[in-house]
Amino acid sequence: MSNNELQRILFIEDEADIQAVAQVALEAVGGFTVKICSSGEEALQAGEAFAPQLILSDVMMPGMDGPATLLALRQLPTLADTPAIFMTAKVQPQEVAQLRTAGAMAVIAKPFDPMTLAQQIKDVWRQHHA
Amino acid sequence: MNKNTSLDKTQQILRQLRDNFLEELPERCDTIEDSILSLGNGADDEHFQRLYREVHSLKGSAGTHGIPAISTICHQLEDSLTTAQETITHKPERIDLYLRYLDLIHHCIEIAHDKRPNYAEIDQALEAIRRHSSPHPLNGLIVENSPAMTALYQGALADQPVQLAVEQDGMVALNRLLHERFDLLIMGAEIRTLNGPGVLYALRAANGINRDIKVILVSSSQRQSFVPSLAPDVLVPRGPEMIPSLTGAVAEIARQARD
Repeated sequence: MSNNELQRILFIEDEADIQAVAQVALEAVGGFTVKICSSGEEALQAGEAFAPQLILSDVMMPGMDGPATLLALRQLPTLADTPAIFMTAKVQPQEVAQLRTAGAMAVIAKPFDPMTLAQQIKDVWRQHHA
Repeated sequence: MNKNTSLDKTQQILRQLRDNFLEELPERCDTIEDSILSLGNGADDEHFQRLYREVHSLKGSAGTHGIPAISTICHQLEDSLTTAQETITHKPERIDLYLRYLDLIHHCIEIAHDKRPNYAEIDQALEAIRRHSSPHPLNGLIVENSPAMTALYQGALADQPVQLAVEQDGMVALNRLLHERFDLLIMGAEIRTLNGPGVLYALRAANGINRDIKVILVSSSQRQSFVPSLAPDVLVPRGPEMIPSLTGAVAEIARQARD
């Protein structure tokens, strides 16, 4: 296994049913180790201890939204440079551009296909580390 | 455990999650209904944002669980909420409109339990709601990269009897065209992710609800060639004559629809 192989994903999503489907998609299909947080606040508490290689976050959440959460996570020394991907149902180019400006290396459209989500993430990861 | 067994098990888990989603959906609909009714009683912006988030979340969840009909209903409901919010009006007829969308979601839940779900009547009902609630007889979609060009089209077509939705990405537009009924597609040839001809070919090749709609392609290339059976109905070259040509083409399509 190379040092660059993706294993640990911090997944931030407030919807319980999306959490469940994504868990199957990422763990059973993708073989990743996933820590699920239901809010930005929870991610801030649990993020550093989990030491993720990748942050995967929903955008529209009550309280802290995805970009605000990423901004806050960036203040934690061990997560300052952790690559991030946003997931959103709004995939208009100007919104995607805003999310990239907010620090995302990619934006994945919702709804996602549970059978191909892991491969999508692996492809982004490979491109990022090429 | 071999790969096929593992995939079967994953599919089984996903089916179970879908069943759970359907089981809990009436409760989510009740919450949305309460929010809609509160909106009619003059609820504040925070309340509106909560309702919008509930509908938006349901759109994503339904799509992830493989029930695009519910996503389409939520998409139209979201559009209606956004329009009303922009004009700050949630009059009784708007509240009725939101509740009609919610009734359709309840209907989808019944259909989703069938062994071979058929959502054709949902498409028809959505179309009926749209026609009833819109002052315009035609429903059009503009797909164009450039916000400036989009504004130009919208300005030029403001007097035409067409309600116009906008998308900027070819793949997103195609997905919408496969699930939501339109009468007219106005599309730039050079758009992102999937270009105009690509969207057009996919639309004509797929056996979807918009397969035979009128398509106007706006292109900077004077020598664009097409497979004859998949060509746009009207090709409008970019340039000084673009706006008169576009307006004329839309007026003619509206006239044909009226007659």
